Amino acid sequence: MSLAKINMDDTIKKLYLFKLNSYSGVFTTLIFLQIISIISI
Amino acid sequence: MSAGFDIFEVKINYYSASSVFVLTMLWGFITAFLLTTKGYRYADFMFVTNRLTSHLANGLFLLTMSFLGSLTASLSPFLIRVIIFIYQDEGHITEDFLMSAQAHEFIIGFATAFLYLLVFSVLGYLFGMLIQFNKALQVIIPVVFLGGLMINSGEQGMIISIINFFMMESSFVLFTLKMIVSILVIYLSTILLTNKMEVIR
Repeated sequence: MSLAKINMDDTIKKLYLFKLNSYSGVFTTLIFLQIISIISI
Repeated sequence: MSAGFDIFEVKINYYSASSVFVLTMLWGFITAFLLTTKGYRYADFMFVTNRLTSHLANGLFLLTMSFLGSLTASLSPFLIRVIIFIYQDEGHITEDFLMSAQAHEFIIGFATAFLYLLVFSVLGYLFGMLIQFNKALQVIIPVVFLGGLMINSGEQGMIISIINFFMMESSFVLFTLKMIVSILVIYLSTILLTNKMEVIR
């Protein structure tokens, strides 16, 4: 793909989707943390 | 808490989801902080990108993260009620109370949790980005914060006043405005401060 065809909106969208896919582990951590805190009540 | 007389005994148990909210805020701060570390930042270079697009994509990620975090945290009281209903003796929670909640109360609780989580996330992001400037800041910032709490302590202390400014607000509209303005100020300052930072730093 030519660099001239790249626009900011597309780049942000791709980066955002990349982050959502790659860093999905943080959401698993969140659920674990919340379950632990609920169990400890 | 319990009180007893000759013929009956009253025992009151308090269950609170505060610990879930506190841990969620901590999770938001740490996750946002991690987004600014080398490994995560260098991953952005797989795309044709610059600092601004990186920041904006991170901002969207923080928004998603805060939304999901606050949604699960706001729903956790219901899970607690169900667990207590199932595992405790009869009478702890009545069936009527099990799922009772006013829609507007839930929405206000969710919105408040969302704003708090977003503030903590952007603070973690700012803190992480500042550390990229100078490693000494990772010691200086906590020292200034904790020192400020200790030296200028009491209700008149600067840090306590800042916390009270947000937490003691009784009007929801004013609270929302304060939070949104703070989030924008913190996030925009992060973008402006790091916009000219070298690519590999």
